[in-house]
Amino acid sequence: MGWANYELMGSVEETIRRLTEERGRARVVAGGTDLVVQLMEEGQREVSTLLDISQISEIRGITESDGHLLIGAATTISELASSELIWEKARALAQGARFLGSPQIRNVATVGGNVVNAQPAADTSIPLVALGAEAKIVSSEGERWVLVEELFRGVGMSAVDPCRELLTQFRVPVYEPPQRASTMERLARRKAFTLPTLSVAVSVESDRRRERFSRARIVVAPVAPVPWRARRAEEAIKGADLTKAHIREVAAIAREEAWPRESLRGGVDYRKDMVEVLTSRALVHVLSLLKREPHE
Amino acid sequence: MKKRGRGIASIYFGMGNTAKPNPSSAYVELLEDGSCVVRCGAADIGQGSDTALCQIAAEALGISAERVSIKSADTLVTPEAGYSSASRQTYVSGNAVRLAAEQVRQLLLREGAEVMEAPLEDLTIENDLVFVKGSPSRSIRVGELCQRLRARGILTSGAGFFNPPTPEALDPETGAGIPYGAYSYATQMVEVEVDTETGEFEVLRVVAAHDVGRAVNPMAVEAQIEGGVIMGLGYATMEEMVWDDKGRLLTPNFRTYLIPTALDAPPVKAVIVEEPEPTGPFGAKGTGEPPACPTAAALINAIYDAVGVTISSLPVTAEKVYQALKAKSSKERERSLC
Amino acid sequence: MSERSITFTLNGLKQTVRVGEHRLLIDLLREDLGLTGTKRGCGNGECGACTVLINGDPVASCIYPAVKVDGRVVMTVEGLAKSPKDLHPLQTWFLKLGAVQCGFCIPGILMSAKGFLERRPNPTAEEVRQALVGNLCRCGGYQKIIAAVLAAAAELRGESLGERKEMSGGGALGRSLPKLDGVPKVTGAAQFAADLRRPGMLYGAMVWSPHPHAKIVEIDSKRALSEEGVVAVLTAKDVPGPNAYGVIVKDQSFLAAEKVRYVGEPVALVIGRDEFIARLAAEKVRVSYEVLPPLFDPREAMKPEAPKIHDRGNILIHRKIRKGDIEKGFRQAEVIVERDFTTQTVEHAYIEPEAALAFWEGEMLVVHCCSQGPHYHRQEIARMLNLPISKVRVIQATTGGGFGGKIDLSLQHFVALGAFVTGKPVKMVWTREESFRTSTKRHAFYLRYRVGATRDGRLCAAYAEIIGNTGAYASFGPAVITRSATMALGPYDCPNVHVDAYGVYTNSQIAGAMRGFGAPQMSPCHEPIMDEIGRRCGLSPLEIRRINMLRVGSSTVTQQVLTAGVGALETLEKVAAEIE
Repeated sequence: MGWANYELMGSVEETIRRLTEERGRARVVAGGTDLVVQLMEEGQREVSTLLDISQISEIRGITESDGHLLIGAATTISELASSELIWEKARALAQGARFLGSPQIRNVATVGGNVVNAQPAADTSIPLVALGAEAKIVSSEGERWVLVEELFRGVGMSAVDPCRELLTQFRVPVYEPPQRASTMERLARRKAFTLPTLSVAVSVESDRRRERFSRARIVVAPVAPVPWRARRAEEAIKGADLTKAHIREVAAIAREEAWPRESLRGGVDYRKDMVEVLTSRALVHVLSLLKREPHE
Repeated sequence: MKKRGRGIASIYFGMGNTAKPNPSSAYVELLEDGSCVVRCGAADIGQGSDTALCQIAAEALGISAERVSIKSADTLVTPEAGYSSASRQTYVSGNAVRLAAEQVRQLLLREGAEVMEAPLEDLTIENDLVFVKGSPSRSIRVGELCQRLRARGILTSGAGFFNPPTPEALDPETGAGIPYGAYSYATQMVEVEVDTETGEFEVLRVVAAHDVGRAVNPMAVEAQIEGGVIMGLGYATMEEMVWDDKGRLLTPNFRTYLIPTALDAPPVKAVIVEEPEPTGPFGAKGTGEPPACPTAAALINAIYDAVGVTISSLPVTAEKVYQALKAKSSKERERSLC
Repeated sequence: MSERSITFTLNGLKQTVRVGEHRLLIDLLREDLGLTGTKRGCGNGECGACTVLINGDPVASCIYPAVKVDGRVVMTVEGLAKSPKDLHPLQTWFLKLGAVQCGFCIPGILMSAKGFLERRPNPTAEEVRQALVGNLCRCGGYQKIIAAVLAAAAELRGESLGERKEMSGGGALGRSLPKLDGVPKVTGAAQFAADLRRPGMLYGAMVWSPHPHAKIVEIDSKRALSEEGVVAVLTAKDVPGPNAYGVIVKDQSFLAAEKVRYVGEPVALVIGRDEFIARLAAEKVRVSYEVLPPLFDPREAMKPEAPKIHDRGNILIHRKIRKGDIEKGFRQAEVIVERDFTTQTVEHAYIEPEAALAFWEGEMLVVHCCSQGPHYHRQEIARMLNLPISKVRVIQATTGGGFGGKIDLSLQHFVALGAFVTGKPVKMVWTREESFRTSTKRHAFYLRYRVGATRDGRLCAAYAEIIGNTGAYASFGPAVITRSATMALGPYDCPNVHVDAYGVYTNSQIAGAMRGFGAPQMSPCHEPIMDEIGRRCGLSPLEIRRINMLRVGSSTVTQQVLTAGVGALETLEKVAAEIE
């Protein structure tokens, strides 16, 4: 019996008020595909009330404004996966949504829930970090915008305080050709509905003439307790020509800096090598999205 | 780089418990409207024994399968028929049902011979009618014969019992003996495509040829073959129970213990081979287990065919293939340097 | 416990119900509304057996809070057909094309397919597979399910379809009849053991060992017994007859008395008014153990100095094959291939977790349960409860797959004891975790093979050592090892064969019957050997097998000369036709 009370919330304001009133005994739930399972399997003594935010229309939906995509935190993974807008302008996020779970899970799970659950290899978290997305966190004290990348404290430990705060929205910079693109690669033990052995999400910007990379984000997981950026590889790619040789170098640097642990899903050596392979594949793929063939 | 390969594997599999008696029994009751009830202890667990046993009863009686129904696996009401395992129900319970039905058939033929004033050996029963072979125009309905028998105080029921022949114990020193009454044989082919960069491999298709003696219900046999192959593939590639050093299970659910999903299942071409089994009911023997037996082996052979490495443990994973390829190419590099 | 009133549309009818806010949708449907067509396969949203449609979308009802359904439109499998005589095309095609086997996964699959086809009426096979990725099927391999969904889609679009071609002429054999027990499986009416209920029913919950090897010092039930709603806490001393059972060797306890030998071994049984109370109380049973050193590797456990897991010693069985003269055989060999191979422990993973219900019917104790062999269950239960066999009735409920894992007693004897002691009906349903943790598994094998042939490719010598990890208790161990010895070489004729096959006790989970009984473990060892021998003799995989395959007149490893029904070469040629 994971919880005693289940309330359907009508607004963000009501949710914050109820959270405050419950003084730590309430948790926000949207799809529940993580939280409900956790409460049933492990139970959390202090949680007695669930506040269901899945029907609050102001935190659902996908729109575009001013070079950014605005995604309500209670938007379901299915909605993300089938959105034309996301596919065109935040490709890696669309791919992540399509990798996630099963149709049953995607129909109720939400992007906000996926991020707040704080698993390092979560399928929407990696691309959101790669895209440099920000999240709006609301509490009774007001609201703040935080880089999604900064929302992870450790495995299962979110910087969003579940007793006081509600993540309501994501603001994702548009990554769209001709100059920007993003993609995600994923290795897993089964073709679907399984946690990844390794995931890599990449976003790149090229210079105006599309001859060099101007910058990139390379996010790899699970190789750390949080989504991990291959910063040395990112440094190395800045200003580099769009060549296969450079891609190989950058991928090799990513491999060097990554330190995965032994896991049920794959051993250390293998996953290190796969960091290189997936990073390389992701970079080659974004180039093809930018309609650029890498020179040798 | 993607490389393709094909591998084959063959097995054989004895039907029934090894070198041990494993009898089955069944009752068959023909009712006065020509419909039939079978009672047998055989548990249908999805493999289709209920339906197969009805088809066997129908065949033995000469009536249409649609007129047969079955009550199974209730100890108060159905006689013993052993476990539904060892691929034995079609073979052993099938024979018990056939024998019970044949007792009823004999009653019908004898009564038919009297009524039609024809020699017993000239009569046959087909499609619910008893007639002289070659002269189907003059016939009596099975139901009518049943009524006639009842009117004379003869009830049309039979009891059948079968134990596979020669269930000898094996010699404890040499293992010599005849452990099974019948064997099934199978060969499967797996076609695979290996990604040499990651070690990932995709099974493109499987061909599974299985000798079932006689397919009582071909669609059900195919379903067993297809299901067994996919179970064999799961065993080959993704399933593994893992414990910590204190014996605690680390894979106690479907998120950690992976079985194939619809996307993981390649197309399977099931090929039914019928080499009649003389001791089986109408030549039939079992199908339950063989389909799950050769698939991992065929996969390992296919991977060798594709990329020249042989994996030495199950499950075959992308990681193992990758490490084997890495070891192979460093060995080749060493050799070329010498 | 707070309750709330919710209103939703269920299978076309508006419903208003009061439901506890802690409840899950699956339990509201199954327990409160009696719609047991929706199945619980795992409880974590990981298998899809519980799939229902909410506002047309497939959703896992086992992780969906019941209150959440307020204001929405729900469809379960019971809402799919207009009536039992007027089935939905999905249901009729599932039956016509043989897509239904045990039936446990089917309601969930029908719901996923229905939701999918509403949105995508003209899908490709690949899209259907994607749509069904969250619905696990263990019996069927998905192919016929995909075909049935595509056929139903075509019919719903108004297209006409061909029928399946039949193999046979007349007669009842060779006909692909849809299964006789199929309709209830597609309408959700089929009664699996977890769907059964009786008035006044109590629930059983299991207390299991957290240690792989330990002496039981004390079982303290006081706290558990003092919980509200707890009727009994049963241990080994409550078993009226012998506290031992087993399909071959009776070395397994009804409930552990002195020792536990694997993590998950049942130690006590709590009978309570409902499942929640029984499970909560089971956590309050205090068992103290004296931990003993565990052994998990059978190669270690079979050494003479290894600590004894069973008094009789750790080698349960050593089966030998000695055919011909193995030394002579290897001397003759011009090609010798050696191969070591190890296999993992795997689980049957039938989508239906174990379930049973026991009750008294007059003087008869009835157990209605999942089963692959009710007569065996009856015999063991009667013996251990000191009842005449004729006073025990075991009825196999519609069973959601077995694959060898539902032959041994799992919980049938527990509910029987519960009903025996309390006089009331007692039900027990395992969680997926309990099923994984306590039920039998496939033997993991350590294999060492050495096979020799003459240069023409003819096998002349074969040696196999098989060490099978039989786990904590015997179960089908002796049968698996014996059968393995007879199949160790594969379907080939070889004049000199030695096999040493061992079943060794360890403190791992019990290894028992599982589809294939050793052949799936061994063929990945002997088949690559055959290919390798072929390569060294300049022969293809087909050729090396053509030369050595068993045929009429061949002698098997048990020195049986085969006389008929040997279709081996034909299976090889059928496969060859696909390759060449």
